[in-house]
Parts: sequence; structure tokens; C-alpha cells
Amino acid sequence: MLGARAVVEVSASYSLSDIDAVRLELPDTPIDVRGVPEQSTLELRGRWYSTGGSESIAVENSEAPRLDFEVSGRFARLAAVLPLAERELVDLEVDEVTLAPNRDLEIWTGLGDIVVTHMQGNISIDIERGTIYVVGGAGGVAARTTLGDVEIHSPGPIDVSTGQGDLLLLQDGPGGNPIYARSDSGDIEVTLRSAQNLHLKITAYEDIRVQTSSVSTVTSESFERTVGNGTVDIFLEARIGSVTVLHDEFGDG
Amino acid sequence: MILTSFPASAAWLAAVALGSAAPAPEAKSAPVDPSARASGSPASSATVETVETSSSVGTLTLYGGARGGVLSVRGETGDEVARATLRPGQEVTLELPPGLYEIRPETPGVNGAPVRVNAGESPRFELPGRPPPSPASATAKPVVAPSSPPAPRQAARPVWKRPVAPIMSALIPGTGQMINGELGKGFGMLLGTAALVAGSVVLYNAPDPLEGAGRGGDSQSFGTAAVTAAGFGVMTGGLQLLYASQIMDAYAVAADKRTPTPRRRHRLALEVGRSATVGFRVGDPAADLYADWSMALLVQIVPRFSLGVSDMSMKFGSDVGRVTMQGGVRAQYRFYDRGRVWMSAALGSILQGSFARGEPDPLVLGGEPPAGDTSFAAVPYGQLDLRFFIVDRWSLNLAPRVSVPLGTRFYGEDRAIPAHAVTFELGTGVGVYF
Repeated sequence: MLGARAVVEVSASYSLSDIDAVRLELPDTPIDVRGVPEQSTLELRGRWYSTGGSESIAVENSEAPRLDFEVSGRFARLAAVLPLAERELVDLEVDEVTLAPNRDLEIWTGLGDIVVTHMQGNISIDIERGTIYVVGGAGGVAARTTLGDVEIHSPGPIDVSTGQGDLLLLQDGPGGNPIYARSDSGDIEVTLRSAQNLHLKITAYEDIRVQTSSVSTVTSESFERTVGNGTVDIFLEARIGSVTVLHDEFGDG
Repeated sequence: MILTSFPASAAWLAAVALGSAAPAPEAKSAPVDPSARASGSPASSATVETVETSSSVGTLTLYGGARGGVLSVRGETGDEVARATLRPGQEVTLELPPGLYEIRPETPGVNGAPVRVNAGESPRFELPGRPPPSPASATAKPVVAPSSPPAPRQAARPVWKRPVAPIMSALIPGTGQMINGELGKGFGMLLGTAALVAGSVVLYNAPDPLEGAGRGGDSQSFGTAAVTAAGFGVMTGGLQLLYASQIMDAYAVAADKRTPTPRRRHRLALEVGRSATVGFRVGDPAADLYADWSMALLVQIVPRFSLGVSDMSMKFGSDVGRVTMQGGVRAQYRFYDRGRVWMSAALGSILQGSFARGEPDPLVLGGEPPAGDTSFAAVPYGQLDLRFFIVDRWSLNLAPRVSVPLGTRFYGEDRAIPAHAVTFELGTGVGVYF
């Protein structure tokens, strides 16, 4: 097959005044989101790649898609609109998205590595394939991928699952936030800031290791223990893999 | 098997009885005065006429017409019972047991015909035209001589193997050959199929499923991706041909029809195949295999020239419910047909319409979905068709093709070729002729 490729830069800016939550609903692309204090807009930078039977057609194809920013009440959605004829001929690659850190954030895409930093609101990530890395999310972090590792450092509640990949979860701040994690094929490692009032419920195909100030065990298959009043759920499930729970009160690793 | 020889002369004839299921014929010939038969057969086509005789066996008379030619006489099982090379104006008479025979001229443009030979009758098959009168031809003595010694015949295979062997080969490749007593060939087919399946699975799973998840240009991965895609295409194409051929072979051997006689005078051809190419794509991987399964139905409207619908298929996108419906037209001319090999050239065009449903606005509860999106493309092409027959009506083919889509050409899943991208494809498939 003979043809040509083209690349077109894309940048966009949307006001987030009166907006509390933003959803990024984009075709397959890696996405880096960074919270920037005092920024009142959502800024996006990236590029469209395309193919064509000739260079001019490739350029035409790269210019066919558009980004659509819809607002409904205090919720906004940034999506890509791809004409059918060009849908399979263009590929978006987002370099960076910046916005105010106190907004809630949702990210939906197919294939793409996701990095979210310096965001303080609730963070929700739902992708088909790709790794996920989050630092922040005091309002809570929910993440799902079917293939890829997940690493989360958060002072908020964590709910995460991966079909195939390892999970590395670290409590930030004073700790005491619940963690729900599942990996269908991969290991889970959790580092707690606080080992008080835990309700540990762990199942794993391989080893289970718990080493905190109040619980220490090495076992397999399943383990359940309540510490104090048991108000902090730590539910971990590694269907094919091991689970390790550590306690690092000072967060130095 | 009976062969009767005559002295060589200006006109000559060779008839070979092949000792098939039909009893061997007895051939006799006589000189013919072409001028005496001027009012006989029309000059434009071969004719068959029947004359009652008093004999207890039937006879079949073959006449060489204006230009002579080679005639193949086949019994009810399709096996050749006699083969005659006739000079202009020459004729030969075969004594045959009663039954239905098919006369197949090997002269281009001359149609054959079925002939029923009954006891006491003498049907006649004539090639068209009359030769100009000449003393040589008028006095010619026809000759019947074997062109080759008859091959020893194997014992007939049990009839039950005819359906069972190909069915078993369809279920487990190679087992049909084993049922036919060809153990080595059967194991070879089985191992070959297994190797191609294993290779295809390995190559299918070779790409990193997370390729493309990160940033970066895709040009560095083009070579690797193209080689992988090409390898996968060759493996699966080879698997397709091997699988189909071993089923046909199982039947051919079980039916004792190792030498097929393709139906040149077929009316209808049904073809199922895949045309595939390796091309670049946007994103990662940077290259991919574009494979398009389709069906064609061609009618032979005059000898060698066929016309019909082609490239019929449906394809579905992996997202937004894209549905692509495809059909086309093809005109094809067979310029070579010797033995079991045919070659044709074709021109055609694929017509493709694609539809995608609109997605409801996720921010509006119960909102109506917007109107769907549509796309249309025509893909003109030219192709060669190299066809190899394994049994009389069944063939495998290779079809290299060059096409230029006038619009986005969709394949299955998330694959598409952009407008004006000149595409070189290789088709592989199976054809059956009626």
C-alpha cells in the first residue's frame, strides 16, 4: 500500500468557571493531566496523526476531527468528534492537559497510559489498556484498566482494579483511608500510613504477607483480621499473584 | 481395452482407451470424401446426429470437420475412454457399450456435447465445417493408434470413502488421506496444518498489547510490524490453501480422479476467498495486515468470458457500531486453460457503503441519539487469477490485484485504507464451477 502520513498540532483552551467536574472522553491516547493552581481554564496540547493516499489527503484527514467541549450544569465533557470516513485514519496523541487542581476529574479512553498529578479532587480513570499513575486525589481515586500496572499515591479512598498487571498503592497523609484493590493476574503491594482500626480481608493465589505494627503474618489463599474498631477497610484480591501489606508511618518508603 | 491400428496416411487419428469405469471402445475408421458430406453438419458448430443401425452394440462416429482437432470421449464417470486426434475431413468410428458419453473438443471456441450411445444406434459428432476438396484428403486412410501404453489400473476404492475421506479431512486435516491409505501424505498434511496454525498463533500474539499506549512516533516500529503482519498473512493464507486442498485431494483420491478435467464450459462459478495486503496505519503498530474475505458469483456468458457480482461481504467496526456492506462487479477473461491450470485477467470495482449509528449525548438523560454517519467508496481494481484444479469442479486460486480506493476503504475491526492509496493485494481462495 502506498500513501503518506501527516501530523497536525492541536491546542485548545476552555473556561472552567462554574465547572466542578470535567470528563476527558478521548479516543486512544496517552494523557498527562496536571493540576495547576490558579488556573481557571482547561488547556490541552497534542497532535493528530493521520494517513492518506497522498500527502494532501493525509493533511485533510488530520484536519477532519474536532474537539467538542460540552457543558451541562457544573459538569463539562471534552470529547473528540471523528467523522466516520476518517475515524480509522487519524490518531490523537495528547501531550498534556492542565486544569485547576480542585476540580473532579474523569478520564475515559481506550488504549493509553494515564498520568495524573497535583489534582486534589476526586479522580476517576476508566481505560481499556494502559498503565495508570496517580499522585493526589484527596477526594478519592477510582481506577480501572484491563491490562496494565497501576500505581497510586493518595490520601483519599482508593478503589482500583486491573485485569492483568501489578498494583502498587501507597497511602499519603495521615492514612486511615479505605483501599479496595483487585488484580486478576498480578501482585498487589500496599503501604499503609496508619495501621489503626483496620479491617483486613485478603485473598491471593500465592503468598500473603502482612507486616504492620499490629499484624504480622505470612500465609496464603486468604487472610482476614480486624484491628481496633475495624472501620478502615483494606480489601485486597490477587487472583493469580501475591499480596503484600506494609506499614510506613512516616512515608519514607 | 481394445485398440485398432490403421496404416498411417495423410489423415491420421490417435485414440487412446484409458480403461476407466466405462468399457473400452473399439475404434474403426474409414476414408471420407469431404465433398460427399457437404450437406451434413453446419459449419458454425459441432453437431451430433444419430443413425439407427442393426448392430447389438453402439457406435460413435467422430468427424474432423474443416480444421480437425482433438476430441476427448468421456464415460459417465467422467473418465476419458478415448482420445482422438482428427485431421480435416477425417472420421473415426468407435464401438462402445451403450451409455452416456461426453465429447469434449479441445479446439478453442468449439462446444462439446453429451451423446447417448444405444445398441443398434450410431450417433455422430462432427467438428464444424467441411474441408476443401483435395485428392489427398479424399483418399486418406485414417489411423487409430495408441499414443501411450495404458497405465496399470489400481483396484477400485470403496465407494464409502468418497464422502468419508473429505469429511474426515475437513474435521482433522490429513485423516482423509490416511483413510485413503496415504499415511505419509496424511501425516504431512496434519503436521503442515499444525505448524501453520502454531505459527499463525505466535505471530498473532507477537505484538505488545500495550504498544501505542505511550507517546512517541511509530516509524521505528514499521519494519517489525510489517514483517510480523506479512508473516501472519502468509501463514494464514497458506493455512487456508492447505486446508482446502487436502479436503479436495482426499476426495480426488477416494474417487480415483487424480487427473481433473476442469469444466471449461461451466455456466456459473462461485468463489470464496481472501484478499490481503500489508500496509501502514496510523498509530501503533505502524503496519498491519488488511484482509478482506468475500464471495463472488460469475456467469460465463460466452466461452472464456465471465461477468458477475464479486467482493460481497459485510464488515463490522470495533466501536460505534460501524457496519460496512460491500459488493462489486467483475469482468473476467480466461486466456489460458491447459490441463488443470487456468489463468484469467479481470477488471472490476468494489462498492462499499458504511454506516455508523449516532451516540446519544451522555450529558442528556434519555436524549435521542443523533443521526448516524455514512461513508461510501468505490475501489476499482485489476487482477490476475491463477487457478489450479484438484478435482473437476473445485480449484484453488491465487489472485494478485492492484486497486485504488476512491474514498476510505474499510476492513473489519478498526482497519481502513485511505483514499487514493494504491494497494497491492494477494487473493487466495476456493472456486467451484457449475
